[in-house]
Amino acid sequence: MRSRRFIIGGVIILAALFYLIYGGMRQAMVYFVTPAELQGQEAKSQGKFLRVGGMVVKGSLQRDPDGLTYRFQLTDGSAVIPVRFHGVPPDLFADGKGAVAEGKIGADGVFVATTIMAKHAEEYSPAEHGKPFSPRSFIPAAEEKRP
Amino acid sequence: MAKAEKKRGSGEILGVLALLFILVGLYVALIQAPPDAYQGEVQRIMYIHIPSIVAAYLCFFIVFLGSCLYLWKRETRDDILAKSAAEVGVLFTALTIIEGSIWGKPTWGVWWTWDARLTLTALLLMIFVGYIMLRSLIEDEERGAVCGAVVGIIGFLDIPLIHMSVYWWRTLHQPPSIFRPDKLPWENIKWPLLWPLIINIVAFVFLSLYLLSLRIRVGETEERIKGEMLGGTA
Repeated sequence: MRSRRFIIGGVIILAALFYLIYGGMRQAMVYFVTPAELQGQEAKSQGKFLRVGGMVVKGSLQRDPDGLTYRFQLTDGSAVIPVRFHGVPPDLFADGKGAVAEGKIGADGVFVATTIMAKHAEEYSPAEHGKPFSPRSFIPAAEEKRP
Repeated sequence: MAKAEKKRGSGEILGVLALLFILVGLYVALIQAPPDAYQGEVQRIMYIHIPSIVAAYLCFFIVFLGSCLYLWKRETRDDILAKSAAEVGVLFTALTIIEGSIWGKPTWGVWWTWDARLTLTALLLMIFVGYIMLRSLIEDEERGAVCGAVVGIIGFLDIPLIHMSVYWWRTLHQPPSIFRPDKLPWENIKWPLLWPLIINIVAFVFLSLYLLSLRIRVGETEERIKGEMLGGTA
């Protein structure tokens, strides 16, 4: 009797755990989509929660006079998507650097981000030398090679 | 008795080494090492974040070894080793996640995000917290040890997944700086920042082994008392 209860409990816990892992991993596997993948899908993806990852197009980052609204473009090298964000971005968020935006595509085709995350490289060096950001680490190398 | 004394002595050497390396490690990480060119001072969290996960991986590798040995030879000694290492491993995994959060907020902009590497690391913590719960739930010693060994071996298999996650999937977490086949560590981390990191990795390895030796002694003492109690009632 006791062992049967134990088994039933165990199965329920295991099932819950696997459900959580499955749900979590399904989201985590495609953590963000690229602007190229979104291209042409804007109307279909409208209103859906999305993460878009890419590099902030150099020179595209603008800050409105209110100091809190940022407008910029994200690119993966082949496509570009305009993004609008209202809030405080992380310190490492900058022109020409990697970023992941969370939010939804609006009716005007602009991606309205609710969260901005900055992506940094795996390289560290002393401050006095200065260092360019490495876009190589942005997308898994294996994926980059695919046509 | 002499054997126990000798064992205690080697455990204490680990403790002294850990203390020494931690003191030197703190100095080089906080004062000697220059700030990072891109991230500035906050990058110093690396000097505990990477050592913590190295210590955690080491502990879970010991769980894996102990579990395999136990399933093969059924010696209590190996089970105590695995059980002890699991507890120390949980400590260092939790530390890694906490340090990573504190590092993530100012650099990435978020405390946490469900990318593959973070999700799989959270899973590693859950598996081994589950392992500890399982061990305290099953009263039958031998059954507990067998179930624990199975969970310990499966749980360890999450570590290669965590390591490869940043190559296989798109993540917010950057690829490895040190443990990778295609690039040498000093290509990613310049020497002035790399050697303080190495000292701290050594410090955390000694610290985890010291804590492990203490936990094993507790396990052995428990076992001896159980043996004496059984001997007394028989």
